[in-house]
Amino acid sequence: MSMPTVEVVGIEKSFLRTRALNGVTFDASAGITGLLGPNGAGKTTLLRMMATVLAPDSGDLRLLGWDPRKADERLAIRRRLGYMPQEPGFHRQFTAFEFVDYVAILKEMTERRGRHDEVRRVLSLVGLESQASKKIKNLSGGMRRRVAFAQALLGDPDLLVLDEPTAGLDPEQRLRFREIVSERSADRTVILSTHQTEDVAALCPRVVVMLDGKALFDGTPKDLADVARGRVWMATERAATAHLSWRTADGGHRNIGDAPAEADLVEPTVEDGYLLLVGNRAFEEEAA
Amino acid sequence: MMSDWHADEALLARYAADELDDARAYSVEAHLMACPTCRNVLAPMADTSRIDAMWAEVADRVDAPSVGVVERGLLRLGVKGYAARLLAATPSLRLSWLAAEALVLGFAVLAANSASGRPEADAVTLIFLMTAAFLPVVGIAVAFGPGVDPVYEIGVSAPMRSYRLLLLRATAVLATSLCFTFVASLALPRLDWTAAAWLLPSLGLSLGTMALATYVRPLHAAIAVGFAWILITVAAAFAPSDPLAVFRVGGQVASLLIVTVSTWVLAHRRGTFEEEIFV
Repeated sequence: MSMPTVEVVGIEKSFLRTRALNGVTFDASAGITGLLGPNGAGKTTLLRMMATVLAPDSGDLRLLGWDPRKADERLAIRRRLGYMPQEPGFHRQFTAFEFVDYVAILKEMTERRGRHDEVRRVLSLVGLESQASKKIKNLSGGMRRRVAFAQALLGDPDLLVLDEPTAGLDPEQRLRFREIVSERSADRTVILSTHQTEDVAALCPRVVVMLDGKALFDGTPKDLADVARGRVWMATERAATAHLSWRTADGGHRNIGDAPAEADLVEPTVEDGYLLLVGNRAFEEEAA
Repeated sequence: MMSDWHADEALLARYAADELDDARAYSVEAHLMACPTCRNVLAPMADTSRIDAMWAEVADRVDAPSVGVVERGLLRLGVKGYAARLLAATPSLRLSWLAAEALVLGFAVLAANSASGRPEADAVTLIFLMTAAFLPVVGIAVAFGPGVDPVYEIGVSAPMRSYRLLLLRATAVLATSLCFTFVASLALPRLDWTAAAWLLPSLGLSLGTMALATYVRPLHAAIAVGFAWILITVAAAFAPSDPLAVFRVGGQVASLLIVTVSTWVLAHRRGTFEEEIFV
């Protein structure tokens, strides 16, 4: 296994009385690591730290071998970083081209022609070359997210931090996104957060499930699916013993939990494992 | 018409290397225009990198989308392309903002002219001076920082120093405001010392806001400075001796002191703009 490029050790962060991160620890190396977790789990706070936007209250963080607390090392990280925030802001009067060009200038690309070539390259990667002259305010939500993704790809960064990158994308765009990210993951580190378990299953060799500011699970998508092995059942009705149950398209009920009567054990998915993991924890907290 | 004569390779090689004198080069060129055989011989000898570079430059100019009004104006003023783009994203340099600024100053000048020769003339002059000195502070407050710059978070994670961006935008906002106010001052009924009395306090308030912004968000710094400024000028206005005392010698010296101290604080604490305290 290659050396970790992201090391997170016992990170804590509070905002007034809210504790967002509660001693989270994990590391990541070249490849794609997916952060899964419900709202408020601390994913965005952790990603903002990896983007050098936010500093931890305590704990150690190293990115690409550098310490973001030191000014010169933070600058070195920023020179090799691509970041797409969860809610990227835009100068709406700019065109898509102007906006990405603006971020390219912030990334120290001051030579005009080389910068313009790079802007065209990333816009083309996300399939927006024909929309380059359109003002941001006239683009759809999905297109704006692609613009935000394009700016993160500028300069082909070694560390790509993406917060909910597939939110608002249609299925075709999501496939294109997966293609672009997987092409870059061989020798680069990609950390992405998502609510979409299918993105994790399709894209991430490694998944970290976060809950209450901690890493609850760290393993492969198969390991996560195995959390629910032997506990996923198809039945004709909702089972009283199930932690979670929902009606599927074929009219049956998928039950996650203890075996209901007259039910068939089925192969678990990443989603089953995730729901069981996060759901169980929620039940434990309620009981406590 | 194609001739049977062809230039020899050595001649073409010297032409490609730009070693021929003008007369011979023109002769070879004239022949090349009519002779595809010689053009084919010449083709591999020619250094196309310059032509490629020129073509790429033309393609880039043609492909790049046209820029907005503010950016175009900045480019015409000689501002570099990348700096013009950074400034075009400044909320307080947009046309709507500049129009609002001109409107505020216009009303202040109008009021000063209407009150001329009447007992309330000094009070109206005071309002003009207060407004003129404070306008750049408002502009700087909405030029940079979280809550006002929608791309602030992406900007912080980028290697360009936030301090540099703040200085660039603040300078542009200050320069624009000073120009507007200077023009407005010329329309005042009295063209004496009061027409320029806003200048030093304006610089003091602007730099004071930026210095305070090394401790708190720029918007909060501007609010604090604005509150203090209104408090001081209004309190001075009620002084029986001289309502314009803030703008006379004592006030000017104090402003100069604030400019000096603020510049020092800014220079020594500029690193804080790269940290997380504003996020």
